[in-house]
Amino acid sequence: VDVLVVDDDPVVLELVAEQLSERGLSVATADGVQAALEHLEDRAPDIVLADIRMSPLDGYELLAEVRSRTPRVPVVLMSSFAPPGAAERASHAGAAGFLRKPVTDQEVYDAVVDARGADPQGPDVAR
Amino acid sequence: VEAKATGGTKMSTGPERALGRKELGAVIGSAMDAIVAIDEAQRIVLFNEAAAKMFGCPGEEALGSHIERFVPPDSREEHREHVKRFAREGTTNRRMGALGNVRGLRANGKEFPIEASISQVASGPRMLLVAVLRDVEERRRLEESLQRERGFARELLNTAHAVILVLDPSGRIVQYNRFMRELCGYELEEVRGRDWFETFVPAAERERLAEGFPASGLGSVSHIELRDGSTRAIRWWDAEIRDEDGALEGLLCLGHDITEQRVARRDAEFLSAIIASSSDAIFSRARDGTILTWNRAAEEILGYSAAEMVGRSPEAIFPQGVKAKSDELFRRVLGGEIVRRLEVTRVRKNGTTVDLSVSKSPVRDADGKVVAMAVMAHDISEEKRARQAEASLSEIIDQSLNEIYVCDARTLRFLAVNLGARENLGFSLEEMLQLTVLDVKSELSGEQFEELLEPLRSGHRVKVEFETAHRRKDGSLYPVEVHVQRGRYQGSDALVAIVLDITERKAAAQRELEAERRARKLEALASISTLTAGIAHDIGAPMTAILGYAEMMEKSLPDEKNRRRAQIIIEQIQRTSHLVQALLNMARPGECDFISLDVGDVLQTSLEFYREKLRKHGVAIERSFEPVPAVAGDPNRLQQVFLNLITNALDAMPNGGTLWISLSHPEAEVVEVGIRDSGSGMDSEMADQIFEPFFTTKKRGQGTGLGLVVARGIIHEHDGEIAVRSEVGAGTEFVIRFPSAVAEGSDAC
Repeated sequence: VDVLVVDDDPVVLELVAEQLSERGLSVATADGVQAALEHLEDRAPDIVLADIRMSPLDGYELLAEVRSRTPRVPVVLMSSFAPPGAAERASHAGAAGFLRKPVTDQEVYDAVVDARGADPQGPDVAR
Repeated sequence: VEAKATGGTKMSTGPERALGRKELGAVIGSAMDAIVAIDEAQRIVLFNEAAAKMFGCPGEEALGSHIERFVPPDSREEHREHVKRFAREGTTNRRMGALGNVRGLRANGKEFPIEASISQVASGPRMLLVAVLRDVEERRRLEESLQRERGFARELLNTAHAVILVLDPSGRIVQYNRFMRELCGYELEEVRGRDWFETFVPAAERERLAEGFPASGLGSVSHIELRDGSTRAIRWWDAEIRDEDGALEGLLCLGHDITEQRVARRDAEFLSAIIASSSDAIFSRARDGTILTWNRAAEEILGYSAAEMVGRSPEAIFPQGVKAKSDELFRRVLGGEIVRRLEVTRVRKNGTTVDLSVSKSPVRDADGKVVAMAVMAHDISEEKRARQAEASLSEIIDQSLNEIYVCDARTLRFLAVNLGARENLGFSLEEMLQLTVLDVKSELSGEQFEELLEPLRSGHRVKVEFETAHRRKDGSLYPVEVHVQRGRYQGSDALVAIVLDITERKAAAQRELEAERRARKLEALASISTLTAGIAHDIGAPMTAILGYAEMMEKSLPDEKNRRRAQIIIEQIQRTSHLVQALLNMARPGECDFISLDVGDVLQTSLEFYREKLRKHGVAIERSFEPVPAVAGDPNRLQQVFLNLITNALDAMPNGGTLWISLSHPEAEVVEVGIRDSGSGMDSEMADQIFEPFFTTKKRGQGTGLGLVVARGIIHEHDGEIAVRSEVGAGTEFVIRFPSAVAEGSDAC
């Protein structure tokens, strides 16, 4: 399973990439929306995991873009200490999942699995 | 004549020498007086022509007869005696009438008075008595009649009810009658001979009247001044008194005192002027009920002219159904009764009615007989309306729920207290009248009250206002705003106070103050939260990194001790993250999605959420859900509240217990949720503080102190209320009350 992790905080980006890699997922990283979009041009991942608060473009904008280009790719949004209702808003915007940072690696993995709709290690996911 | 001559001849002696017999006979015969002579045997010897005439008996028949023939029978005895004595003593009286009341008898039997003079005449050897007689009947009659007339005149003068006055030609007082004497107060002797004008005529008229004197003024009126200084009006009828030669002897003045008449006439004129100009309707009714008089005011008030009313019955002015009563009154007044200030309604000519205050009295003639009924009426329509207005005004004032007090300005004792005041204080009027202002204003001393009144008493201000408290009969106090002014009440100086019960206003002010304080607090919280949200985001990333790497370390470290250390890092990050998340929850912008929801569903979901955990902690759940109306709310927010409260309950029962969850509908528009635990409970001081931010009963590190603040904020957003009841050792109950949506009809679909 290819996961594209997008976060403008390099430490978090590296951490999440590492956590998911350790669980056997194929991880690509982008340090912002622009980089993510560029990556998407090359290759569509199976899932996008993106922080909400980024600049100049934020996670919602990325979500909208992904949903318009590759509607089948689920997007999980993350946010540091998101306000109540943020999950609903994300869901409403079309996100496949929502994570509140700080987040444990298990939570990240579970969110990815849920969003993918199956065991990421499974044959049909691996393809 | 022959006989007389013969007789005469016989009696004459001496004088016949001088006069011849014939001549003497002629004298006697033609004498105006009767001459009769008798001899000693009292036989008539001489009886002249005048005697024949006087006695009605011819001379020839009289001669030789006894004299007594001409003396009335009852006088004969006396006459005889008289003649005897006369013959014996020889006395004589030649003066006519000296013999007194001598009476004669005529041939026709009639007696008559005689004046006689008798003398003795010696005729030869014979002694004759010669009487010269005069018939005085005529004169006596004349005299008597004169006497009567004089007496009559004197009587007339003295009893005349008029002034009778005689002045001499120069105007001096000669005589006046009793009437004048009594009228003027002077005895005649005092003023006789004095100038009339100076004595009796007032100075103002004196010159004019004196100048005209003695020209008689028939019917002229002038005044006289009496001894007591008063004046009388006299109408004079003067007549001149002249002597036989036509020279003026004096003036006879006849005067009528017309003072009373004049006064009476003036009074009558004055009275009719008063009646005419009166603003009261004045009219009178004769015994037959018809109108006798009808003044101008009656015309104006009732609309009928005098011409229309006089001589007619006044039935047109009676409204239907009152005539019988009016007739009854009419009869009573004719019977002498006086009816005063009777309020009646009468009909005007134009058909409208007028309210009158009527007095009816009998009118009596000079003999005291009731001849009419006089009616005086004045229009009280205006007065009545004013009275009604006044009555309703005073009723309004009395019924006013504003408290109105009137007290004596000096003693401060209540003189009048309206209903609003009595009801609020709980005293009856009788009780109130025993109290003074200070009894009610229990928080003011007499000195303090006087100090407040000082500007009023000194006249610096017409009204003073202050706030204090009133004490009710039951001892409770309520805040009041007092407006006092000076006034008069039933003639004495009073203070009038209008008092407003400002309990509500105070409470509203208090609520406002609280709302403001809460708003300030929320504002402060919001700014803290905004700051927190910014920081939270910035620390979210490093915390994620710390947490993530600690987890990695925890998994990868070989020795137990270091893994434990990594675990502590993880736990502390999680604790920190809970605190930051709670702070953020307070700061969230108001993005509620209100829907019509069933609070029971939300409660149930929340309960399911913790069911396992509760079971693990040995907490039993007691549910009591009544069917309730829908509530407008945000299910996620409400769930947050319920979860918070359930968590608190759970924390309060570390060793297990019971959680009661109830849902009820205690009032028509209220849905109530109760969440009660059987935990340790709180004292009241603690219970008062639990909604304060950062207050917590939990152990350090277990609670944020923000959960209930957030919960209350959410409930307030739902227009609800949250309250706590707690008792140490008996547990804690939170009660949330929501307004039901039914009342607003928001679930009409």
